[in-house]
Amino acid sequence: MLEQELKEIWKGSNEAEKIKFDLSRLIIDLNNKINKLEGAIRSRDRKAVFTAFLMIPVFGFLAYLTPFPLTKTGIILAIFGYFIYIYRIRGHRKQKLPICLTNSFRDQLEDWKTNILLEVRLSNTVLYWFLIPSIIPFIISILGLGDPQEYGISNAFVNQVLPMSLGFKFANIIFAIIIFLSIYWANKRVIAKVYKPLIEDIEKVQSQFEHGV
Amino acid sequence: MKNRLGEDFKDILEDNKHKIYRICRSYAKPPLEPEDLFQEVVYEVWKSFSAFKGKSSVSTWIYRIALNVCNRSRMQMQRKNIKTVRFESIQFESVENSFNKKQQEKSEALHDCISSLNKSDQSIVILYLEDLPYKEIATIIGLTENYVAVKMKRIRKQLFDCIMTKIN
Repeated sequence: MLEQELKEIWKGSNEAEKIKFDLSRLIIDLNNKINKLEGAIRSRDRKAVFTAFLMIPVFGFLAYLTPFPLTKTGIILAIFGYFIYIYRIRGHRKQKLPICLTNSFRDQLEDWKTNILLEVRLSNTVLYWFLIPSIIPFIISILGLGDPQEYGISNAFVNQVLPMSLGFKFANIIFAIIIFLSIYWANKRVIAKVYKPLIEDIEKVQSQFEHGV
Repeated sequence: MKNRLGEDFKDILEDNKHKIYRICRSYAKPPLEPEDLFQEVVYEVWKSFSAFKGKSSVSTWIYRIALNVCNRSRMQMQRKNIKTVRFESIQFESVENSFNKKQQEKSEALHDCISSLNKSDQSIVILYLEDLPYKEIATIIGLTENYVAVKMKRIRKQLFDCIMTKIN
């Protein structure tokens, strides 16, 4: 078999398919898809930062209202925790390389790997930029809750919830720890099940190009 | 201006649709359909169309997008069960194939043999079968021309051995 014959077989292999475009409709479809995807990304980013920014004045107001010194300290620490969260997420987005599918195959693989490694780093460090800065203030705040009447506060709602028994405080803390451990575990699972195999695949192709194996 | 952009895009699609489809067909493995990959490539071509400055040829640009999209989709699809919503504006119609049974068998054998190569060799051989010069293959993949030539010598032998075993 000649090389030319092979090329003809290759080129003729899609003759069984006729591809037709309705151009005006296609451009609408493509623009809709761009708007939908970009809108979803923008909305996700905005929601995350907006929620964090919104929580800062809300927590500030709570810190101002609360009479319990330990709880006040916990809430102020939570505000610092939100700053750490915003700083980390924004930094992560800035570090990510833009997806450029018009780059050469190898460059695109390298950029893709860099971005996945950044995701791995973000997930791997979730304990430091999200979980610890959230759980410690939460525990301090809960433990600090006392009897409002000692501070001369009498409110029907507050009096129903407080003072909280030590057992109930620990139940709250344990529940929060379980939730936070689940978040930690979910992040580790994504690394193991999604990112690591993808990085291995990319490195395999890169190694094939570099060493032929 | 917008109409002109649309017309240029249409011309590029019309001129390149078969080469895009061939690459998509080669990369598509169930549950990934060539039609889904084709749509993804068309989407990425449109997305980067306005930024295309003509620094490389249209063909190089299209091949880069097609290879990158197909490779990415295949790697990601193995882990996520993403389903593409198909556009009604792209229609695929089966037509009477001018290929005879023998050619059909050879075509299937060729696709099987390409699949048996490793991923880096697949990307090179697909471009080689598209009849691109080594220089253009090197530009699309990001290698040197010399490297492609050396690689192709080995891949060609591997491909011929495989296809001869399959069709004999």
